[in-house]
Amino acid sequence: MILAIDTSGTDCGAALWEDSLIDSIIIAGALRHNEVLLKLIDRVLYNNEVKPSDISVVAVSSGPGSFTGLRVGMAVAKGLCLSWSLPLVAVPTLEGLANCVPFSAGNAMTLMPARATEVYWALFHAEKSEWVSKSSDTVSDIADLAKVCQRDLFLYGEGYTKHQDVLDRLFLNRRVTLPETESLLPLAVATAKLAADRFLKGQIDDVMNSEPNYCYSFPRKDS
Amino acid sequence: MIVLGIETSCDETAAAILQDGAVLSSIVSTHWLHSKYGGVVPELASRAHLNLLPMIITQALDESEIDFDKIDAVAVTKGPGLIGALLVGISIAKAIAYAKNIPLIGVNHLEGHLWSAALEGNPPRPPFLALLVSGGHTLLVGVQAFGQYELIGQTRDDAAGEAFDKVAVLCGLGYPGGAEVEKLAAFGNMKYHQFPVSMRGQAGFDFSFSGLKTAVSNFIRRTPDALDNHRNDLLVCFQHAAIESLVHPTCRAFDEGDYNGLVLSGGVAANNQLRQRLSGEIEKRDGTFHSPEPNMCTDNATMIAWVGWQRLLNGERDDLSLCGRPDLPLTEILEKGRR
Amino acid sequence: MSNTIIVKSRGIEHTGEIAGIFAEILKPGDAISLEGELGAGKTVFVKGIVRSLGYHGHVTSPTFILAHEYKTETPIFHLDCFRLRNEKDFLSIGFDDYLSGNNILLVEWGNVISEYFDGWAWKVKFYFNQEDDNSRTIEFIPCNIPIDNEEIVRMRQAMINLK
Repeated sequence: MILAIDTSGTDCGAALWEDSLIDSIIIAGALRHNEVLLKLIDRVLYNNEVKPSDISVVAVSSGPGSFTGLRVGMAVAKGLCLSWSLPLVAVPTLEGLANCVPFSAGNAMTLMPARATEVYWALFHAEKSEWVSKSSDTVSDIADLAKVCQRDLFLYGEGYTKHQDVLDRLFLNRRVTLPETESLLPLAVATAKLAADRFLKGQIDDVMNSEPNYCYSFPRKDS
Repeated sequence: MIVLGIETSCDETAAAILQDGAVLSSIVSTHWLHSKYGGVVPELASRAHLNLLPMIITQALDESEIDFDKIDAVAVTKGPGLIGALLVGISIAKAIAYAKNIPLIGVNHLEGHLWSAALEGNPPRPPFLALLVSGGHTLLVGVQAFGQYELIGQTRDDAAGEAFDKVAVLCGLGYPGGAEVEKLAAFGNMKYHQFPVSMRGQAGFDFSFSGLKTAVSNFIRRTPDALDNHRNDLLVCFQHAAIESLVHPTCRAFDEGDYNGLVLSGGVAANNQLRQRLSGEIEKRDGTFHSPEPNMCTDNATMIAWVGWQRLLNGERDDLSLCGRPDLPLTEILEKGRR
Repeated sequence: MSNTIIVKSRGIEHTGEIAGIFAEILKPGDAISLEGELGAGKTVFVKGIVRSLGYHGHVTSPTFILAHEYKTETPIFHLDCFRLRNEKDFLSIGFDDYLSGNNILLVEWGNVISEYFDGWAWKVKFYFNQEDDNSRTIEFIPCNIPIDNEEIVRMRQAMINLK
């Protein structure tokens, strides 16, 4: 059974997954991840009568996103792995976001808010039955996204919500409307699902040396 | 009771294991990297803590030969310090406390320093006076009993260790060069120049080092051969003024209060001139002088585990919502202690 | 550059008064870089700003701690980049977290991070004067802020009127 946690954005979430979703708890707009996260984990285990010994993997949404949130998530994941002697699976946040959107033909751009008018983003293309990454995680000013905008693109993530007005204008006539909110998975759940795939493929991360993907290059002066 | 202590408030990542107050293991990793600038450079980092702490904890467990499941409680620094750094230690501590279903206790870093001499062979007997001098803090605290503290004096500007480090920079010793100052000062001539001793002859117990730093800077700008021909002289004169600036308010406080002794702690306590000067003054006054081993003066997790242990014995504990407090004052403990 | 204001301070108290006048034009979100050699008066200047904005607790150098917060109407964060050397360090102090709010940011040794950050509202530079040890020359350089000339003229006048 996988315990997945997400603190990369404003939501704080924990999910349990074994072949399929068991349960998840998400506090929307929690922000105070440090105060909330462990109580949330406790609650999701308690509600489902899951004992620590039932858990076999701890998964974490590993960024990019809020620096503080990412650190809290990674630190808690490491603390749990250390205490329970479990493997860690780090799942990139932007890939997790793509997997929140129901699978359909087309392209998706997932976005997380960065500083001021900047966003972290990545492109994905639907192939067979999965979202395949078409770019590396990048940070750009939203105005520069015009260069990468394509037709039939889902835009999804807190980076989109934050800059919706500008992005809608920028992607006018090219954007595919998002599916109904109810059909979108919480990021903690998508993280759990992806972690299950990764774990099966033997892709686990080092509990000692893993760190979040901060994905940040700073604006150079007069560049 | 076996307590795991965790400290990540600034530059050191540390973990220690104590059994009923006795040290089983204590690991400290400093993020100082040698640099091309000739000195050492701090990689100040929440990320360094995040990478190092799981390893340091594992190492502390290994050295103590204690099974992880035998740990009875986790004590962690909750402030003051860098928020990002504190948060890493607190998050990992909370995850361990939760995962192992054991009590968690947040510890004030400064309170840890106050008691860093408590693990020595001849521990200080309250009431005692504590002078905490480091790169980030300069505090004079009256310790009535465990949990009963009175903030008597503090710096009005720079910390004492900061003054040493910055004067080292002014003298071309690189950063941080506070420890280097004492080494070179040993070859200097005290009669070279007289720098102002702050707060001498004044009432109150506060400290000030900014004026001294500026005086050194001004002197160097006005004296062309100061650095080339008289660096060691300059350093010994500075060191003398800095130490006297610590000694005068401390002795005044000792005279006016009713204390059994003085505890000197923090990174600057490694300065032998300061130790000798203060121990002489305090022994003249029939007080006992305590300064822990250098590795206990600087940031470590042993002192955090020890204070945590005391608080746990008092029945205190924190829940999983424990937060970091970058500006956590020591005086808050005072209020709590009196309540 | 014509908007740069240059004033001469006679000493610590005078610097505090100049800082008090400067404080009046600060707005939430402003990041101020304070630049000058050791002992040039950066912390004294911060003290003046913070006092004038209504904080009366201790204001000490944050060199080691890297950041102090003063709880005034607009929270003030007092940062110090003296110990920072590279981009990683810059990242690690969570500079971004401080920027993102509606705070006033007073950054000693801001020049150290100017390679990574150029969003300053003002740069304030402190120089020693040859003629005497106490006086300083202080230069106020507006950067990314929309220049309200009247406001700047008023500030310059108020600083000159300080006697």
